[in-house]
Amino acid sequence: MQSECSTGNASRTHDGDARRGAWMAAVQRGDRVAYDALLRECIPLVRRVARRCRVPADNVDDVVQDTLLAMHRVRHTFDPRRSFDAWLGSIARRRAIDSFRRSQHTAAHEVHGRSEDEASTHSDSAAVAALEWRATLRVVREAVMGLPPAQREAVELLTLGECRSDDAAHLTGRSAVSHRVNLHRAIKALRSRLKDKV
Amino acid sequence: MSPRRSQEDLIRELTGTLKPIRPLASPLVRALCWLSAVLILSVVAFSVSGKRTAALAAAPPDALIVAAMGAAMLTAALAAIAAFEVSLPDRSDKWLLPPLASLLVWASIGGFGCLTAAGTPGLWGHTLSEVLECLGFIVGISVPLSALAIVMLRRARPERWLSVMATAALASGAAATAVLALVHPHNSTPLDLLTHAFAITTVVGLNVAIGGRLLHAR
Repeated sequence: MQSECSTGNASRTHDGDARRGAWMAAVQRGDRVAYDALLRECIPLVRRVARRCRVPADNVDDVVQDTLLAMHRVRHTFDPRRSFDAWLGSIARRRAIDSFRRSQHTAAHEVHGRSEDEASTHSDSAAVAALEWRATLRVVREAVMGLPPAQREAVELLTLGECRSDDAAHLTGRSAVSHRVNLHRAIKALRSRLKDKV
Repeated sequence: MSPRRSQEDLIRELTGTLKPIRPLASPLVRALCWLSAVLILSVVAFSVSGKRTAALAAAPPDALIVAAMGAAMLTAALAAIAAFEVSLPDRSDKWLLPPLASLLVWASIGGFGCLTAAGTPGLWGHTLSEVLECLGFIVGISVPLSALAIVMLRRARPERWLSVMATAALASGAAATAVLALVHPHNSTPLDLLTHAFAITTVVGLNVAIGGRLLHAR
């Protein structure tokens, strides 16, 4: 898996790597223009890592956003004397592998869930309605539980708990921005997962 | 809202909230800072145990004791460097190998010491109270060293927190054992070896269970 997930020589042209490294050094000094340019150049690099790690196409954007958020959190760990692409690649690779594993797990879970639903269709109409309602609840609950921890936390706090993002940030130590992004991604993922089920 | 738009939002929010940040010092420098704390602790422990120090000066310990102490110090230094290296996202897991090799050498020296002492009276070593004292010393010295390591490592927000914490705990346990050997040098016995192994396992277990959460917390 590690070798398949390598950043690849093509993406690590020396000039590009050096330019991004210089931008990251400027980012550590608080240069917002350099950060904007850097983030935009990082997106295709992270996408490439995600594809190499066999992340399903509809999860690639999640990996990109996860990686950019992680990169923001640990930007002080970058050493300008070292390769930026290798540093970013390590962060992206871990997110991509996590995403790949999650997608495998969710796929196995969904197959199991469907066979249980099929068994509950042979009852009278009231019982069928009750069962369907419960099945719907279960599908929704499982979909929420199947979200990555940060997204699940955002749904629980911002939607079910009716917290403001600032309060959620105070409660968890994650930034308000991170909560809002995670909620957005959670809703997008839930919409996609529940599209044909509920 | 399309994913493209969402990434635009994210870029805008990240750049909008950007503040200058102090880059971390190199892992080697940070490991040396931690090892300086070990040195200070050793000097304090050494000066507190005045009688034993005098005895040590009068009768230098044999080569195996010195070798075991050296291996413990080497394990502590290599484990500390490995923990600070692996706490960074782009450093190889291969950094974990040197402290493991050194641990193996240290255990082998201890085992060899036991073999050479085979057949001598009192082979199994000490009384239960001495064992408990030994355990208490290693765990007691390891706690502040581990706490310092957690404080220093936490800033890197390590993703491989389990490896980082286990290696930092190994560094703390090995350093504490080296300090113990410094203030209380004696030939290895099987009970001694078991006590040290148990103490270090306890330190690693406690650190992973408690310190891991502190290190992993975002």
